[in-house]
Amino acid sequence: MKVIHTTVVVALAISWSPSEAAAQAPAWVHELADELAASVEEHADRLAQFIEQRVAAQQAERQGRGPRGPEFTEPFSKTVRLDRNGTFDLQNVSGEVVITGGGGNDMRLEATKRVRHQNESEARALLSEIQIRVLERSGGIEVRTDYPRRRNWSGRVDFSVTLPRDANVTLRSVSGSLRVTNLNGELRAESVSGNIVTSATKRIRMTKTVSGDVEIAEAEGDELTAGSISGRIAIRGLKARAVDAQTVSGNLRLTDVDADRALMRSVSGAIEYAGRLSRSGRYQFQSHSGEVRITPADVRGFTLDATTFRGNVVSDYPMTLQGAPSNGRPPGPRTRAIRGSFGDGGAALSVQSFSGDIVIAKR
Amino acid sequence: MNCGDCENALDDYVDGTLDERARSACDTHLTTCDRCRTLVADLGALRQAASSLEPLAPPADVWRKLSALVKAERDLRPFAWGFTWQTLAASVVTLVLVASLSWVGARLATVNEPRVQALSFGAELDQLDEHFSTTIAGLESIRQTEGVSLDTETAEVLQANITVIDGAITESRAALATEPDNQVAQESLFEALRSKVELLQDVIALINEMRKGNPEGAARIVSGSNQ
Repeated sequence: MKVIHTTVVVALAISWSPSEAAAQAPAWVHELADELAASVEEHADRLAQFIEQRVAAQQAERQGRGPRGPEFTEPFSKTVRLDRNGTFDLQNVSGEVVITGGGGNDMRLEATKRVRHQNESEARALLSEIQIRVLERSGGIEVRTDYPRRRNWSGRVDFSVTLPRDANVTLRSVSGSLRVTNLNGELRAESVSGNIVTSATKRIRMTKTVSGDVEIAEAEGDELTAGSISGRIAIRGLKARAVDAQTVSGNLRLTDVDADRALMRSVSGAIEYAGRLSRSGRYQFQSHSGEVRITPADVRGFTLDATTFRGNVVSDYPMTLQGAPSNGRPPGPRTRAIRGSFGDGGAALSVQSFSGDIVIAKR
Repeated sequence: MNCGDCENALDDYVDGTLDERARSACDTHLTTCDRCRTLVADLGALRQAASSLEPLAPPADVWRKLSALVKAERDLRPFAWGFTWQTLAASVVTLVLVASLSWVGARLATVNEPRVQALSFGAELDQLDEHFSTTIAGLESIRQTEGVSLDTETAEVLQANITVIDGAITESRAALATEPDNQVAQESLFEALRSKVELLQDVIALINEMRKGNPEGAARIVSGSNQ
């Protein structure tokens, strides 16, 4: 394709200019190179997305995943005794996993195997080859899913599991979403591209994804770690001693949070923290280019060390600045750094962003 | 003409360079085949999208280097799992664009480096930067030679985020070139370097799991290096 050749030529033409000349070039040359690179990147992204979507659609169609391939299903269910505070460990590749805490001493598992294929007998054969293994271990249960190692088929297994609410749960998935509700035991959940969604889950220890989003509502925990590379992390109604949330390009949003310590870091994602600041609490926020917005609740006081290289620091609170008498007014609108205290100066806020703005806002 | 024949002729069909007889055969096939008709429409749209790019004359040795890249790509990824020409085209474009854009970034960063170090950057800072950079170079090398094991979607997410971090590193270094003692710039550089090391460690762990044919392990390992 000539058009693809053209695209490649554009990218290469930029990158293959002589490096010695570039080293001696004035600043405007570098700026121009940056602009060109950004332009090519934008074009490349659009083209790459376009090509990927079409290739994926064609591959899906060839593999019987297209709209013309009907879905065939096969149910699976099993009930096994599980101690109230036993462990439950489930691994799955593709498909949704729903965990619900309840009473009793049983783990009830309902699963649906799903295969899309144009040939029914092939689909039935594939369904029978998908093996769900429920393994009873000392003090716990492990669930493993074995998929056929054949090519040119598509399928998934959806799980719905009810278990004692005090059980400790570990979930791992590649592409399916993980949903957990009403659990008092410790939860660890990891997915590559699936979302992780929890509600009324008291002891979340760790959630992590590569590209999936993390949504946590009404949670408690001693130390909660939430991480994603490109996914969004949204935590609402958290009560924990410490929370550590980290992304590269996804946004971090913690609202209605009550924690003694918080560490939130991103490279390009925005950071938002709204919640109570404990009197001896320590809160650290760091982003390279994302905005950092902190909205303290029930404020008695805090010390603030907020600095940015290229953005602005804005505080709605009148601060007593280090080395300067307070004038009773909030600092000016275009400030690169604010170091000072408000009220009793109890909580310690350390905020840094290279090029994003920092905002300390009132509710 | 069947779908395979049509696919083979589509390049020339879309470019308008097919002879009369072949074009007529394609037209006949397209009237009865939804899939090939969709493909032609897509290629037309792709051609239109690409035509919005500004033309640039390539240096003389571009095609030699491109040929080497394509060959390297071919050596790394055998065609055993049914490579179509569309997949190959997408791979080549993605590979070359990513490689060339990274190369531009790396070159500009290299241009900045002597200036950064010539100024009062601080011996400890220099050592730390060097340590991180060496670690990153090692991890990058592993990622680039082994990265073919990752599925395309995950690999692209990871690559896009590595690019984000590289941008942060470049910006921080440029800031330090003008304000070597700036604490925010120093800390931003090390945060970005730290993020890159962590991400590359995760990527390599993911690759290892995928290569073992253990996709469940891929999910587990995502969190491994940080726990």
